[in-house]
Amino acid sequence: MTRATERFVPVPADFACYETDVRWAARVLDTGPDHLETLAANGFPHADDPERGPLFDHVDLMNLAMYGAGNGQTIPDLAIRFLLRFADADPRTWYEPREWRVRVRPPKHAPAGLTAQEYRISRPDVTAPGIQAIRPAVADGVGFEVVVRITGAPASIQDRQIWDVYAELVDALNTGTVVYQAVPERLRMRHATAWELGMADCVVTSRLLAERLRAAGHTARARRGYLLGLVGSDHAWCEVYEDGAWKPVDVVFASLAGTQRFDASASFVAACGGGRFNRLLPCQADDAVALVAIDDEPAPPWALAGVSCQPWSAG
Amino acid sequence: MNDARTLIKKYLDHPVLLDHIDDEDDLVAAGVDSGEIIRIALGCEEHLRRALSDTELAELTSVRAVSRLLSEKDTPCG
Repeated sequence: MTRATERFVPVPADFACYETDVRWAARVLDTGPDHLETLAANGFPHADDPERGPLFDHVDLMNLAMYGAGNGQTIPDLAIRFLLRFADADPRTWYEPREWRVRVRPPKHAPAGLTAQEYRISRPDVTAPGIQAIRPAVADGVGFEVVVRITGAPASIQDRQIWDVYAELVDALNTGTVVYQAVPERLRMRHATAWELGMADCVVTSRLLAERLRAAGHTARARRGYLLGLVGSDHAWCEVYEDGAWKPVDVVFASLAGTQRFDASASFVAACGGGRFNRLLPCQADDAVALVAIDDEPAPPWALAGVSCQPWSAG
Repeated sequence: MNDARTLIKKYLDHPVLLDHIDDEDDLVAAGVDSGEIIRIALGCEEHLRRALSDTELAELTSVRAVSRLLSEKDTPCG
């Protein structure tokens, strides 16, 4: 696992939050506390606390988990594999109308007594193309529940310039020039800095792509919401306006396809450049800002919402 | 249903949580986190010795759903 630290970019100290102690870190990595002590002694980024010992950044630990085991069995690896399994199915099933019941709630270990003003969860954007509220979002504590019909649409980007900018970002991830990894929320909002540091995730790539396309004169925006499936997973993508429609462009899906994590068909890769899938639920989050905030600040990892979703039928 | 509960408990950080979850309850809404759900899905795949389909994964939301899935292995073909 020590060598895994060479496979991703550690969070720079000025963006890191060294608050995770050895006990919790050992749980995240499914290893013993001694191993964490060794990692710290060997220079893995941390802060020394006189009472709590070495403290680590949660995002660094997630990346260590993802790149350390190398067996495809870590939670991030499995999440990618399960959430993108739909790509194995008949392409027609990517677009047909699907109805989902989605519940979003604070995690079980969130402090009791949080109010909706303190703990803000972005609601679905039911005005987005292909999204129809079957049952409008209703408050459920500080969370919400909604039933939506999502209708996808096959499409592909026609403009060569858009395609080239998109392909350049996909290529950077595929060649390892930039590493696909977890990125802390504050650095996600500084997407150009993250990219220059050589680290990117879906939020970084969607914001960067939208920015580059706008700079080239196109109408583009970064979107953020949930990828629905086994669970609801925070995901971001870019949309570009072409031929009278918003077309999603997904750098991360396209990059993950064909990697060891997720082996998808060529038709799925092509669909990532303009096709709208029937399991992406956009939320009200301009420029792909955080979906969960506490006191108007992006929620820390321990406070991220639990998202359950399941196929819904009126019957 | 016992097989399903045994499998789910194996993947919970705090197995006692399952004692407070009814068969039809939504696991995530009842406090099972996404990492645990993912491990439960992996456990089902290992039990059945095959990959779950996208539809099966999406429907894996309760103890009863897990039980329904696991019972496949006990049902003779033909």
